[in-house]
Amino acid sequence: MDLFPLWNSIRIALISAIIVFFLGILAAYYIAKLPRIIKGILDVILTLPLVLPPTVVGYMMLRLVGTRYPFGQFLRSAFNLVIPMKWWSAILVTIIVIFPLMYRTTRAAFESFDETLGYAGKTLGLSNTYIFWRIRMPYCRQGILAGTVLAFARALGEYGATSMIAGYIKGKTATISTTVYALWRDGLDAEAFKWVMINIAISAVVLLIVNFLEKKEKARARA
Amino acid sequence: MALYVDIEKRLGSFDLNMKFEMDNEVLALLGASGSGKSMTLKCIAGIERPDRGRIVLDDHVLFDSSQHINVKPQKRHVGYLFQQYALFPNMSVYQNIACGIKGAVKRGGSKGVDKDRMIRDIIDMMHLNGLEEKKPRQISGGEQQRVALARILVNSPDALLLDEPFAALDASLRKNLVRETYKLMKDYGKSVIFVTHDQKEAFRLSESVALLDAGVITRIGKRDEIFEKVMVENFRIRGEAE
Repeated sequence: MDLFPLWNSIRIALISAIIVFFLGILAAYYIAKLPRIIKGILDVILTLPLVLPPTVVGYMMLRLVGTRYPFGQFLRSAFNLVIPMKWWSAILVTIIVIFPLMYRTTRAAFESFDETLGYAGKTLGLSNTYIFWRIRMPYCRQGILAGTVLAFARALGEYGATSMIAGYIKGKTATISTTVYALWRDGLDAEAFKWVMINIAISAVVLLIVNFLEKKEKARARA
Repeated sequence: MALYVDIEKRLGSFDLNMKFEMDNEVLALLGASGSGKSMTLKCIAGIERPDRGRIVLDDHVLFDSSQHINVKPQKRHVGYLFQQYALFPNMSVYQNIACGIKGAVKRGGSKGVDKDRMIRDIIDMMHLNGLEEKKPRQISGGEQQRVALARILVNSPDALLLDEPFAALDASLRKNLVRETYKLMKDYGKSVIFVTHDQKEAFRLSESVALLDAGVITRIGKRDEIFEKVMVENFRIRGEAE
C-alpha cells in the first residue's frame, strides 16, 4: 500500500498548523486592542472561512492564482511560478480554512487573562515581549494548545478547497481525503475503506488530546 | 517635594481631579470605593493615562501632557502592590521575585550583581524561607502579600504604591501583617502611598492623610491635623442631629 497520501496529509496539516499558530496568536492579540467597529469588521472577515464551504475558498484562491487569471498569469510570466496543482498549494487554502479555529480559541483564551498580571509585570520593569511569552502565553497555554490541535485536526480533514487547488495527482498531490474519493470513484472500495479507517484513527487520537487538554485546564481552574 | 501629582481624567460618573504633593513619607489616600483612589495610583504608575496634567517623582518627570511626556510604566520605577497581589501563577515564589530583579538590574546596568544573593536576602528579610519553590496558589494570603512586596522591594523602586494592601486578608492575619507592613512602609524612606477605605487603618498607618471624594481631594495634611478635623466634624454632625 502506497502511504504517500498519509505523509502528504500530515505535512500539509503540520505546516499549516504551525503557520496558523503564529498568525492566529498575533491576530488575536492585536485585534483585541483595536477600536470596537474595526474589531467587529475584522472579526467577521476572519471568521467567515469557518462557515463558508471550503469549495468557495478554493474557488476564490483559484480566481487569484489560477493561470487563467491575471495575477496567476503575472506570477507565471514574471517569476515562472505556477501555484495550482502542487502539493504545497494545498497549504495556501488550508491556512485560510483553519485560521478561524485558531483565532477564535486563542482570543477566548486571551480574554480570560487577568490584565493586572500584565500591569504588574510592567511596573516591575519587564518588557512587553517578556510579559507576552512568559506570563500571558503560559497563563493561556491550554486554550492556545487546544486551538492548535483543533486547527491541525481540521487541516488533516480538508477536502473541498484542497481538491480544487491541488487536485488529485497520485503520488504528487494526493491527500488522505482526496484519495478516499479517487479510490471510491474508481471502484476500489476495499482500498478506500482502509484510508477511511486510517483517517478515523488519526482524528480520534487528535480529539482525545483535545479532551485531555480541556480536562487539565478545568482542573487548573479549580485549583 | 518627593512626589508631585496634578492630574485630570474623565471617568464614567465623575472627573478625577487630583492635586497633591508629598515628601518622603507615608500618605494614606482615604475614600469610599469608586472615589478614584486606585485610578490615581494607576496614573502615577503609568498603567492609566491621565487626560491632562503633570506627575513628577524626585525631579524625574513621569508625565506632562503639555510637553507630551508619558514615561512607560517600565521606566517609572514605581513599586505597585495590587489588591490581589498579581503574583504570576505559573512561576514559583523564587521566580516571581526574580522577575522584580530583572528590571532593577537592567536599570542599573550593573552586570556584576549577584542576583541570587539579592533574592536570598529579600527572602530572608520577608521571612519567606522554605517557600522558594512553591507556587503562589500553594501559599497563604499573608505569604502571598509578602512575596508580592518582596518582588517589588528587590527592585528598590523610587516610590511605593499600595492598593488596599490588607483587603484580601483574613481578619485573623490582618493584625500582625498590618504592623509589619507599616514598619516596612515607614522605614522605606521614600514616597509611600497606600489606598484604603478604612478610616481606622488610614489614621493608624500613615503620617499624612488625604481624604478623597468623587475624584477630588477634600482635605489633605498631617495625620493628627486631619484626625482632629474629622473628629470635630463628626462631633458637630452628631451634635446637630441630636
